[in-house]
Amino acid sequence: MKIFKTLTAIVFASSLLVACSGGVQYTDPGAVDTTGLGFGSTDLQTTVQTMVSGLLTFPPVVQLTSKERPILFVAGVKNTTNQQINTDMINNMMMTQLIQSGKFRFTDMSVVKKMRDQLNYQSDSGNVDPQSVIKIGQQVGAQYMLYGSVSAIEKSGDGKTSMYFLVSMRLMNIKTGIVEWADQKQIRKVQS
Amino acid sequence: MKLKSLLLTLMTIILGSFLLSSCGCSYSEASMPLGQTVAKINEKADFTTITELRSREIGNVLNASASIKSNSVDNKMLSYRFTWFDKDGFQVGTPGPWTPISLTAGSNTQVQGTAPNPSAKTFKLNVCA
Repeated sequence: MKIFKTLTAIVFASSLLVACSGGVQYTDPGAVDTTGLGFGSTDLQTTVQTMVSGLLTFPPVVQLTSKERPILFVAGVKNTTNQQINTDMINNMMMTQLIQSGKFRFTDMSVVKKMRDQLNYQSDSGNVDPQSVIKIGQQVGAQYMLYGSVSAIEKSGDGKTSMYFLVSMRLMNIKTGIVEWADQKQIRKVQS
Repeated sequence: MKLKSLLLTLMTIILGSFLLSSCGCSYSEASMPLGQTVAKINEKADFTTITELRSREIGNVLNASASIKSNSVDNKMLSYRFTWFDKDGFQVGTPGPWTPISLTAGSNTQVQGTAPNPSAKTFKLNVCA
């Protein structure tokens, strides 16, 4: 009888523990995400890590960045898979990490219209002190274009589904059209 | 008596499952002493041993590698991450992501990482297997 009481108490305590652990919890954003075959946070983070590391250690790029901080712009990562992948996250993470490396500078094409609106406001509104107005036509052009693609192969059979992603990135010299750097990241996942 | 042993078994299963669900992997950690470029170590965990750390500068950015040996008779999935520190021991940036790799039974592998910027002068490696 005593053991029944003990067991009941343990089961009750366990159910309370389970109940308390339910709901929303904060977790490590860098933890390995194995919640599905799709392109997840681990794929995003490890892809960007591979690309940034590759770019920072590629000998011709090391030589290039030893003398100056080249100006890049991100042309984007093309999603050629049939999955919904937010490639803006790859662009943003690449840009942030490369700026934080102190080796590169960027122009941001996503805010060109807002920048132009501000310049027009400064020159045309009459509200801004003429001595502090920034004149149009002084911006510095990007020297290199960063671009890439994500492609995938999905296969099913024997109760398993396999997903293979190939993320490729390139750095092109805008003046010459020469691709100065390229790297790729392969990811393969299997779910049974 | 039979009932008692059945209940004890049941309790062991419940507690065992709870413990298993809360302990995902066996962790190990190794740090590169500041100023060194090679460190021979023997950082053992249940399934892996970190045997060596190396570092070099490419440009002025720290590039690190670590050798990980499998202690297991099975192929294992493990994950690792690098964390970077400046010369005063302050963390540089956020730790890298946990990167999953497959380690064949009894084999060695080398993992590499690159510091986020030139202020990083040393690093530590965490392995979860």
